[in-house]
Amino acid sequence: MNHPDSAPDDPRSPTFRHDQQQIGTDGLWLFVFIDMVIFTLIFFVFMTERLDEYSLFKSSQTHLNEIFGLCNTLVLVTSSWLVVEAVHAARRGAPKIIATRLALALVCGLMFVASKIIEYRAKILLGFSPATNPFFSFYYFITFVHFLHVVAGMMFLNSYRQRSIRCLDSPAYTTGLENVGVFWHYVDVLWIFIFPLLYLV
Amino acid sequence: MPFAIWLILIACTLASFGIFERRLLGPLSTLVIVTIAAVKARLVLRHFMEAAQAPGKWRFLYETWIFVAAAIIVIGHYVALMRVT
Repeated sequence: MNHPDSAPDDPRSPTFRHDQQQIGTDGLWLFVFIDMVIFTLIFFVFMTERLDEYSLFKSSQTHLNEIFGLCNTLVLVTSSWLVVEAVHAARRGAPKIIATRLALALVCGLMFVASKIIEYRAKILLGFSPATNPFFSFYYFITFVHFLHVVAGMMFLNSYRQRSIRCLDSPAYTTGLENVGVFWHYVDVLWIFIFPLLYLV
Repeated sequence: MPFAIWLILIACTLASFGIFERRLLGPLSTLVIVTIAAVKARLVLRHFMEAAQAPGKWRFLYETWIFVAAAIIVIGHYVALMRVT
């Protein structure tokens, strides 16, 4: 039974992933897909409301500072790349590289969080709250839900950073880190769409 | 390889930002900016999520999602423009 060709189908088995030439687990891909569908509906409702109040949405949008959106995009894309490097390091069993790459990705995450807090504060001080008009309701809702995704992703990244040594003895660590990677890249992809949706279009 | 993808993503981001800031393409800019976003999303999907190694259904569903998300923004925008003019 220890022969690699006869590994059990039990997904809890440590030899399971060697049979599966795939990234992460099906459950995570499904979870992210469900989240994608929810965001599609949010995008759809936003664009539909925008149809009816086009001039209001356009004039409200001019009060957003697109520099924040640009910096957010650059920071998230960079952190995504760092997480890819960490996943590749996990596959070849290099815990130190995992730890540094995930730490740098977390720094990017913190920069995103700081930038969002500064941006929210500036908007509130200018008198734009979620109750100002439909555009700002969407702006706060969409960016805050995305913000929660970033915070959740950072907690996963940090937990895998702390356990990076496990990549040497546990295939489940690598699969788990791949799952975290897929989720983190999804958070990045979401922002890639939210940035033009709210700031540029 | 991931580094090259990262460079392309940064370049695409700066390009679409430049198009927006300088109002380079007039009414076409939305189409171009959202198309660039979809291309970026697809690069992340294929090269960062490594979707080619995930089961085919996920790759299909995720790629479809990218197309649908981009289409909603583009169609919604131009329908709004047609209504205004």
